[in-house]
Amino acid sequence: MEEKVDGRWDKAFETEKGHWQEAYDSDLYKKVVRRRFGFVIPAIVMFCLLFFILFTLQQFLRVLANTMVIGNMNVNFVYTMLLFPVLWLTGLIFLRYVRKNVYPLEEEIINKYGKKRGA
Amino acid sequence: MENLAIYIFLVLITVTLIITYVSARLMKTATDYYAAGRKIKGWQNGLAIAGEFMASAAFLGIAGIIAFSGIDGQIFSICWFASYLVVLLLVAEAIRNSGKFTFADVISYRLNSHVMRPIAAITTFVVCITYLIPQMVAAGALAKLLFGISTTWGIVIVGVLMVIYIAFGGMVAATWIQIVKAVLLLSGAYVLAIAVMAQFNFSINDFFGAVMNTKGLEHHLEPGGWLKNPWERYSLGFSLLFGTAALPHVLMRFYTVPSKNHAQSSALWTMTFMGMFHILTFIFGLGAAVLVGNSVIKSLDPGGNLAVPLLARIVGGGAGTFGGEFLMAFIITVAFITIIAAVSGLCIAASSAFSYDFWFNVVKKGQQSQKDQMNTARISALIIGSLAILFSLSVQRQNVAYLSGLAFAMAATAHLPTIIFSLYWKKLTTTGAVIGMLGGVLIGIVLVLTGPQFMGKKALFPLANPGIVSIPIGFLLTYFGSIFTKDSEAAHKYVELSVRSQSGLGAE
Repeated sequence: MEEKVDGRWDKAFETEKGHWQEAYDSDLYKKVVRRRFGFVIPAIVMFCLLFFILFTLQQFLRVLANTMVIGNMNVNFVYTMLLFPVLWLTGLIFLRYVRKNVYPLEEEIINKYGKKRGA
Repeated sequence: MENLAIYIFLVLITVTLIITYVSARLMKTATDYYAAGRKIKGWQNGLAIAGEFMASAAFLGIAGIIAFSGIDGQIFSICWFASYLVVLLLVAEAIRNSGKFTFADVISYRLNSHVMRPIAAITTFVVCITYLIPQMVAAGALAKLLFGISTTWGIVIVGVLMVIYIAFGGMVAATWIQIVKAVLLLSGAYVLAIAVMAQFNFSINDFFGAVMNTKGLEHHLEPGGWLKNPWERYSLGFSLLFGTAALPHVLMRFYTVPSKNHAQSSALWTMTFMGMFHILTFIFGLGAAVLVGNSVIKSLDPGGNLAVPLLARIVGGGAGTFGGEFLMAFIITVAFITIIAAVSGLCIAASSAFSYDFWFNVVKKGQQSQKDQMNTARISALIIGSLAILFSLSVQRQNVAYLSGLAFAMAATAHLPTIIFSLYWKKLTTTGAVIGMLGGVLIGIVLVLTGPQFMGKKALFPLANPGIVSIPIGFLLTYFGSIFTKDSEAAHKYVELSVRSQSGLGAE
């Protein structure tokens, strides 16, 4: 590993800081990945779906999009305006979820498998 | 009016120069220069990133589209805002954990950095310059309309200020100027929105009623006024939603915060501030169409960029009144400062591509003193600034609005597959990434240049925003380039990058 075959040991990084393979194989790491993507993947799917519905509404379901729901506000406007709080709340919930359920595990990985600087 | 705008402009420029002076005095290391010493707080970074997306296109451009063509223009507002949820969910923490100053750090982590860094430097440079030129040309045009000076002088002033900010103040100045601007822009936007809604008793119902009762605006609340080609909406929408996660000048800002925790919270703060602003754009566009009138806006600027300033004058009390003239001058100046702040962010991304990715890591092989690193960065900012001024001057008489679309398409097509695969796909190889990145830039260029924005009605490719075609092609190129080649080192280092990006082990 010491020979720099093709410059992959980039000087920008100090790569020998942790027991990477051990960490990668640990249950702790698998748990981190499972918990994070257990949130991220459904959230991305929901995100794509919400926008697919919006664009389809605007493009192919104009009659519905132009139907007034609250006074002079039509479905298209209300839907677009609702996306702002819905997506923001998704972000907030994700952040809280990660801080509560993922960060503690990440800290454990760092403490357990990280080498001290210069060690 | 011109004089008042110039006075406000000079006051604000003085403030930005003071920021630059203080930043320059505080700067001691390369980390200070490229990443503001990693001392920016989450909400501050959020404001700065939001500032990048509340540029003149957002403030003046979207309002112009909505005023002329209706509610379709809102697609930029909602998609730019929403794109930060993608950044938060997929890249913010991973990028912060596994890099140092630029996104090239992340992609050259596993792959052969002698190959990846120069390529990333070239694509970053091309993307940033392509973004810079239309903004500087727009600034020149605005300067002519607003301050009564020539376009050439407008471009030179913006370019010189940009170089001063970046060469002396680095990322610290680029961040604080963006923050000051974002606060000014948000305050200006709220004053304006409240003043407009006051005319309609703060009732959206009355406001929309007035829109529908104005001749020529009967269908402005219905979608379809601007995006005519059915696939254009999907293509533009999805490229805006996913393209942001691939913009080098945005990703770079995630290195300015102290930790992954702050990186994630800054993405949420970005959503907060962008949401606060972009939820108002329909008020500006429709308000201008109702209160100013499209014929008046068109007679002064067929591009629609003056919709917001003219609206400010009307709701401030009308032409000739102090309130009207002051509000208009304020809005104009903020719009102009907005461009300067945005081009500065692009300038530091472009110059770091050269000075850090190429010069420091490839030519100097990571051996350069802190002082030399900063000097190279300053010189590259100067060179890039001069190039941007020269390019912008040479195309100032042409319509170069298509260049922003080109920059976005190139960034999304070339960078997104490599970033996502680098972080999440073990079989990515250096060859695959090279094919994907170079192919992505080429496809972006070909599809935009054969599309309607460049060729008009005779376009060979039907979409002005090719994202829906080009981004999947970028992914496919990278995929096939990788499965047919071998790169055992990249697979081996995948373990390390995964642990690092997912847990923060070893992160700076």
